[in-house]
Amino acid sequence: MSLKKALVVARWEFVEKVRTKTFIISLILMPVFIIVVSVVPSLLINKPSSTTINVGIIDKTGEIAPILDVNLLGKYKLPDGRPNYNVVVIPPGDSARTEANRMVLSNRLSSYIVVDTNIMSSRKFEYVSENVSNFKDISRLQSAVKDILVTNELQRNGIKPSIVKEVTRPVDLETVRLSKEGKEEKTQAGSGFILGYIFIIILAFFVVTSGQLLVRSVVEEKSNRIVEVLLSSMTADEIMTGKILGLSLLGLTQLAVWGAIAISFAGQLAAFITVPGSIWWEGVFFVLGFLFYSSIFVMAGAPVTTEQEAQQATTYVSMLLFLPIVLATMVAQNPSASYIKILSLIPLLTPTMMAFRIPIQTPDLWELIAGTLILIGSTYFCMIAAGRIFKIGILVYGKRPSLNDLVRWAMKKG
Amino acid sequence: MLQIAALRKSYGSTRALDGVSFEVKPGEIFGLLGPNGAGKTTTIRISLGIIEPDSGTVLFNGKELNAGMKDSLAYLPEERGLYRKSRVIDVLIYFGGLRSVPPIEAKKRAMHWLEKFELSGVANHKVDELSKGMQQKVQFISCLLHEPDLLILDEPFSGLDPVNQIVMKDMIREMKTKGKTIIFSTHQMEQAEKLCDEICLIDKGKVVLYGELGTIKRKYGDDTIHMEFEGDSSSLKSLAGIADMNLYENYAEVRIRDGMSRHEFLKQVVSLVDVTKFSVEEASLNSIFISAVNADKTGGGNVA
Repeated sequence: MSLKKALVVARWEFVEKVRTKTFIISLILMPVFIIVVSVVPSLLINKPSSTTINVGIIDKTGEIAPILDVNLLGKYKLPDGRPNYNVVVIPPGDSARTEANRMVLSNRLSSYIVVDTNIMSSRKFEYVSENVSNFKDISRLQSAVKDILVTNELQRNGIKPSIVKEVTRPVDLETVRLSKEGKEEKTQAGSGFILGYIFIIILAFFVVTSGQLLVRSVVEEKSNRIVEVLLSSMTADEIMTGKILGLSLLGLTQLAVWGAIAISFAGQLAAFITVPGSIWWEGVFFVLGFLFYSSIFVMAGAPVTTEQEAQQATTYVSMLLFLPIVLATMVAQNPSASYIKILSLIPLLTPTMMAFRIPIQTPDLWELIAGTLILIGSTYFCMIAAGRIFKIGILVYGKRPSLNDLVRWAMKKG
Repeated sequence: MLQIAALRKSYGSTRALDGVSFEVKPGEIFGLLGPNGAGKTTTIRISLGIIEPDSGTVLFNGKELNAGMKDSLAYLPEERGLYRKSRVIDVLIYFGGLRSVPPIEAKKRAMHWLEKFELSGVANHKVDELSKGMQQKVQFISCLLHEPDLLILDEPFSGLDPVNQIVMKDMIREMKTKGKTIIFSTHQMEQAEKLCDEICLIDKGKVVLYGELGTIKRKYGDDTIHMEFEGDSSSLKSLAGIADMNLYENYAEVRIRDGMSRHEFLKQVVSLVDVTKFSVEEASLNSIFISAVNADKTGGGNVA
């Protein structure tokens, strides 16, 4: 195989694709997407409200309402010093609820709560609002009411208010991630999860975009018969190597730009994400994963003739990449469960599973090494099979080959 | 230049090539003729090493095709196209690069050829901004950048309008005067007749006629009757004393049997249709083509 010819193809694939609008858009779109998905929601949730919220209360016990005001008022203030919540007491009675509902619908209240007389035994109260997904307000009200119940009960039993206050103070939790080397790293809870998620999305995005470009360029070259000119000047292996090289270069360019963006945002990101020390393993699985999935894209893409078929082929392969996202919560709960370990060693899942697990809880060294070896082996075999399928597939027009055909081509030597 | 011997190739149960052999001499224009599906493209693809034959050999100047030799070949595929979204000059530099021409040199040569074809103004245009005729010229240029010794053109005339057919013909002729060897495939006999030194006619994967164009034409004699007429052409099928006839709506080429005089023949014809032109010349290649293909089909002379 002549690397010189492969490099001519690689250069062409790179230069022509770098100039396309699709590439430039994806270059900008991805970081924007990641920031939107990972950072913005936490920023928004932690962002203080700008106006005072009116919360109603229908208190049939008469014990909660007077203190709720004080309790909420003392704790939550707007940035300009005004109280975050304003408690509106609605006298209990037959028409109280109807009245409260009307106030909510006319926006005089954002929500109201209903405290029944038996709250001490039922441990339940109602929250009524047009929007019941406002987790921040709901959890604050919930903890305020709980605090009041506890305080009242303790005082009824003769405990001094100052002691009650001391006893009911909240407890904070600080998460420390212990690395495999025994180093302690202070992190935000869930930061590993977010980082793992980001890695999967980047890897998947990276593979899918280059995969699509690869398949599309093969389809174009088939339709204008340039593939025959290519084949008359070099071998199928050289063409395939050139294409994969060119697209990898394209991917590296993308990563470099994103990396630069990430570094320039490092200050803001650091508050949410802590990068663990074992991060370089991430790189290993990135590179191997890219090559492995590329060879699968070559196999799926070489025999297709139309854009539509290309779309289908790439969709099927892409679905494989997103499977670990489905398993994400299970992995986060227990990253070293044995079924997770087994799934991580199935070549199709290894790159993404490992990319996800490393920031959460670095897998054992033997797992990392086994994963790497399995991936190197499967990439090697897939590349050979892909080369054979490519050689035959790029000259096939019209009829889509069956899976049997593909297997037969892959087995065919020479 | 190129020796092809006993090529066989099957696709599944269909036999595309069944023992094709011929030789192309340096500096000649060689026509690979045959009806659609005869095996011309398969022969060309095997010659260029794009696909492997089941058996048989392809030799370039006595040697098997190797990577280095590929740089002295040029290939223009059938139903060709270019990268639509790329700039003309970039595409040309790339095609030069595929045959190991360094980019700077490729650019120089590309500009030279673009100028020659009065296309230098579109060098920086995208391919799909060009007219079809212009694209075809660019495609032809893409075959010339590495100064190949052998050009293989698959159906170079198909899809060209009459004006561009002449441009293509002139380009092929010019390559010949520069000492290049040219192989082209076609089913348009008029083009082959005007250009070829030697032809090879393939039908159903077999060579049915092969040799120098002049020799072949002489073999078919210079006593073919060409006639134009008005009237019911099917009535001519009943004519007696015909060895071979290619019949069209208002035109026929006929060879008559020994023993039948032209005088007698013409008398028969005149009684059936209104003859507007009657001449005796050598057979057209088109006629030879049809006769040869039909003879191959039925194992004897036939009426088209």
